[in-house]
Amino acid sequence: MTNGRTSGRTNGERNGGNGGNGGAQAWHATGDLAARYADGSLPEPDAWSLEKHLEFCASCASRVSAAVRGSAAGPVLAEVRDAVLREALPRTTEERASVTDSGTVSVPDSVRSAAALRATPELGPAGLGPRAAGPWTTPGPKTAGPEATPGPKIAGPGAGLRPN
Amino acid sequence: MGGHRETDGEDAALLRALSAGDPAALADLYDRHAGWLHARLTRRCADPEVVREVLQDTFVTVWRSAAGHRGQEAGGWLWTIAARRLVDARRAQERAARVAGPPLEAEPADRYDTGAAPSAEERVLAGLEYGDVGTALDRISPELREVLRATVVDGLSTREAARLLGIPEGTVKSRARRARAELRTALAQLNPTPAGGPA
Repeated sequence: MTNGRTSGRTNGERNGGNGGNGGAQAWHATGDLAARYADGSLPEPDAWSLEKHLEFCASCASRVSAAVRGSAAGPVLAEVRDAVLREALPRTTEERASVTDSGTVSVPDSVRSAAALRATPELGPAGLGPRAAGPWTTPGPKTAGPEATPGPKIAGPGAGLRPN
Repeated sequence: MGGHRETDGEDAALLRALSAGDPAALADLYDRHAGWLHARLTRRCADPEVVREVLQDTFVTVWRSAAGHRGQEAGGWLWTIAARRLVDARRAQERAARVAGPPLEAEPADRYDTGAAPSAEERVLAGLEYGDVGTALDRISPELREVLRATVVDGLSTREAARLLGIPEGTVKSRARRARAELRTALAQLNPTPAGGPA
């Protein structure tokens, strides 16, 4: 804490150093702040501050997301997660994956891991890989290979999503 | 500090894996960001079904357009998509309900332009974590505050903010102008050197 006026207000913490983002980078949300944001009790101005911070701080984003999962929104988040992953894994690959159960067709790793990811956090890890164990675990090493090849950046629909 | 940087790096790696079509990366990205996005959307939309649809739509969009990611922070990128999806959802709702009632009364517009983030608002953002700005924000009226939130915090254009809030664009502009003026006044009363940094 460097500023007495702020200490009680947002209940964040300062770790000093790194001025990569105008000094804001050094501030991080405490568990209490995350919990109050998650349960909706954080006053609006404090919430704004946190929200802007979460846009560029992945670790605080993870912390707050975990707090929200532990709130009343948990079941909805799990359902949407399932729906999103279902969308990401088209029907055709699902069918291909089911063929493998008969033991003859080999399936790409990405398809196999995607099927495992279906497990929502509520269902527990149950023999699935570490990344299927749910968001409460620290992300392990990537199981699928091609992450180091970002591919060509094209001006797709995402390009139009930037604010003016 | 190192841990935070590592997490940021992991986000970048996730986005690269996402571009390469790795569904596991989508799951990780969801676990990392969906919670706070849900909470943020919930603060802006009282209908839980809309929030749910917007959240789902956001991650499906991310999955389909990961190649369009331009290198910005994952959280900011996700929020940009989510905010626009929320605006779209509101517009659809409004269209459906347009049968009832005349359009909202417009307030006189001014030259306020959200296209190029005015420096006064940048200063507000820079100072948000300092108590004075929070106190000042508490003092302005809710309808002014929601306009500030939409334009300054959420990064929406005037048109998008109008759709989100269900008010005419001219009203967004005039309220933003009033909000800035009132903030300045409130800050001046609280502290002669308000939002520039820790005193």
